[in-house]
Amino acid sequence: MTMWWLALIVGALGATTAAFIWLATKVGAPRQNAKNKAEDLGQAAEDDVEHIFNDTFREELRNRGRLHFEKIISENAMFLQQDLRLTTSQLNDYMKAEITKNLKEEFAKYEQSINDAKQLAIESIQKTNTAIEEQREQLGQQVQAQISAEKKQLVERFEQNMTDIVNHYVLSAIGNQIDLNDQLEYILADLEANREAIVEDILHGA
Amino acid sequence: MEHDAPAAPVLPVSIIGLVEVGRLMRELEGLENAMQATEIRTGQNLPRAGRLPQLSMQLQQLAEANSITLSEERDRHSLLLFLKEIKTHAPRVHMSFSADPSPDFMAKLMSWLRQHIHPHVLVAVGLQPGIGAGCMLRTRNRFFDMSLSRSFSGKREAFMARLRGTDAPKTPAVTATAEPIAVPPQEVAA
Repeated sequence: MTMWWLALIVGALGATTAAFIWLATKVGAPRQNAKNKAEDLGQAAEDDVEHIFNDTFREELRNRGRLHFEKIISENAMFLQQDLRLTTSQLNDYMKAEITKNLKEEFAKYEQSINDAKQLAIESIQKTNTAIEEQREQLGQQVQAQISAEKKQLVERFEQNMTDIVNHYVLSAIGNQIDLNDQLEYILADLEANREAIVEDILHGA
Repeated sequence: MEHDAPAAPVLPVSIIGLVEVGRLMRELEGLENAMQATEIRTGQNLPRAGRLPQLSMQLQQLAEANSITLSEERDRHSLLLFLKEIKTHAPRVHMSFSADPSPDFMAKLMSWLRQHIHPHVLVAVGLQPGIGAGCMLRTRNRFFDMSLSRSFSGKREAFMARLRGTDAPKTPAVTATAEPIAVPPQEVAA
């Protein structure tokens, strides 16, 4: 059964190949004829073209083309100018926007920096003020203590000098007023109090 | 302290210090010279009219106190030797007062000193107006400030308390007994 099917398939393939070759042979022959006719027609067209497109016509076409070209160029120039203006305007706007944006950013950074510096300066000033205030208080306390000590010393010196002055005045006043005869009892009492020491020194002193 | 020496010569209270002793020695020597001159000229022991030349009150007191007859040469010699002994060996003290003491005051003071300190003690009197009252006494080695100035100095705190109007602190009363201060013997002798 298989052999029959295989033989049938091989036969079909061979028939198809033969049909294709035959068909290709039949189709390639008319194309060669048509090519020859086209070449003839091209030669005739070139001859007509040479006859139609003479120098005058070509000059006229050239002028027209030049005018048309100038027109196109002019239009394009105008468009280009408009585009250029528009682009320039947009560019200006863009630049303005960019510059403004950058400036704003820079100003914001600058302002932030200034604020930071200001804050630092304020903190530094506050610290300095605090330190100065503490030093002022300490200095004030020291000055106050020194003033108190000096005042106390002056008062003590004044009191001491006052005592000496009063003593000197009293002694001067008494010395001129009290007679030695009136002091005799006092002197003898003192001598009696020191009698032992005086006798001891007189009798046994070196 | 009593010095019972009945045989010892006595110095009257009018003889205070070395000045008087020296003057008495010069006077006694002068008397001796005058007696010798009289004896040489007249051959007599006594001057004319049998009287001694004019003598100072201190010499007369010294002679009376020691029962000495100055017309006798032996007594004069003994008295001169006594004065020389006094000048050489008598104890000396220096006393300073606020004013120049009167003879009466010095007589009382010398009487006490001769009675209680030493019968032959001699005193050199000085003047220190700054002490106010009292006296300052120097012996050979010690110094006794018995002045009112020292008393005031010792009561400075009480005085300041009175000035401040507060109660005086309880401080011991300052007596005239002062701390002894060593003094060179030459200064005491001067």
